[in-house]
Amino acid sequence: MAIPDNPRLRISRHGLERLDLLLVAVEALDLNGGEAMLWTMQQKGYLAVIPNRVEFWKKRSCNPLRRYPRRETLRPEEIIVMVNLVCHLSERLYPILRQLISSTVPEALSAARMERFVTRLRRLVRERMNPKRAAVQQFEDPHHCQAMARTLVRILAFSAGPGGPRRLIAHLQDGLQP
Amino acid sequence: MTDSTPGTASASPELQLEVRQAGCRVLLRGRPEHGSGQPGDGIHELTSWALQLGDRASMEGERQHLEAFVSAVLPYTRLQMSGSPQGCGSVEGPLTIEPRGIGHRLLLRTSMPDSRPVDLQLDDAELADLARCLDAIVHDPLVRLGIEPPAMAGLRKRDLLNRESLRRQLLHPVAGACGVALVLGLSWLVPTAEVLVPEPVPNEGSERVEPGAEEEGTEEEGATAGGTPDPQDTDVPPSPVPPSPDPSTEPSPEPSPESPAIRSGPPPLPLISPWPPLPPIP
Repeated sequence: MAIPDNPRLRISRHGLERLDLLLVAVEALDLNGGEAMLWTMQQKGYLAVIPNRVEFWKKRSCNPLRRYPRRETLRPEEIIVMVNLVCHLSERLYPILRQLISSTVPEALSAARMERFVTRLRRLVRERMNPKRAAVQQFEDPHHCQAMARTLVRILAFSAGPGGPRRLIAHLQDGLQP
Repeated sequence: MTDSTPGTASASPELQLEVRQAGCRVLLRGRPEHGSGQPGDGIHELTSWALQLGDRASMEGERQHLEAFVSAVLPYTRLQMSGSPQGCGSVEGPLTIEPRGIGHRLLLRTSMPDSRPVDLQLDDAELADLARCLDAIVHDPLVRLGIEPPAMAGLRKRDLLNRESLRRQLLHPVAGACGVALVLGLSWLVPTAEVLVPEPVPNEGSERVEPGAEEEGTEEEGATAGGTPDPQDTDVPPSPVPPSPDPSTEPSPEPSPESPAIRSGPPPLPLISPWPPLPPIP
């Protein structure tokens, strides 16, 4: 999982939102996802960049959609750590992700799994995001929430694998160039 | 789920590398550098490769086919992350991949004459499996074929905007123009501010000298200042002391012999006040 070392690496505002939403989706997929993130950071040696869970929470709060957002952006090394973290967690959760997006799984079973995921995702979004933002209010629409959940699952599935970080970085940089 | 087995090449100098996912399997056959036959050297020269997509399709190809897969499927997967409807691969090339329905259409063209292209429908899971297999080949240190992963960059803002429908693109400008028009229309309904014109100041001295000229002068002043002459000025002769001297309601200074500076100075500016006059202080 190699991302080209670029000291001028940056992501868009939409990328900050999407990165945090992907981590929220991981938490919705895995009930112990929050602890798994910290454990992964410890195992991968990312604590040199983000030393503890408080700092990790601060970095996640750079998402403008948060209830209490921080007006700062991520440094290049922090972006790389967060992206690698998402991709590593996607790799771990790939069997679950694949079941959610596969058309060979029986439809009733797939719908029940997706419904459970959507319920958890909506609850986490309600807890942590600013309800005054239009993007957050759209999560109350079941149609939009279902579509958003499917989009997040697809992104996580495509982020798995050795080339996942490069794809995810490119996706987070959408809209930076005019 | 991933099963990447570096080749077993004990008897023959040919090496094999297999990458397996749930819905996809890729098998590479090649030779090590200088025919050394050491498995640790990895594959330097590809002799053939095979791709199996579940139970539906199986194909074999050469190096250019593998390069075409890498250069089309991996960028397409990245575009799918952004929800882009673009396809990848050239029409003259061995394959193209593009969105179709809720899945993806993989069109494989063979170089054999009189053969029709193979049209496959993949779902998201199969596409993810295929991308992971190709990723594993490209990033595997044992595969030294010199196939570089394609460069990836964020979509331009223009591309993101073009994906939106015309109705959605025009929504904000039209809403802004309607808002401006609405505000302008409402501004016509707001009453204009009342202009308080000071009453003409009768000049006693000029009345004694030239009564006719003074009357003409007062009429001219009233006409020029207020536009309509005051009926009091025309019918009733001006009196030096007004009947109800109230300083709070009277906008013009009271003409009196004790204030010659007011009389001789320039005429006071018209007071513009949108509010009604204050009631008298008890």
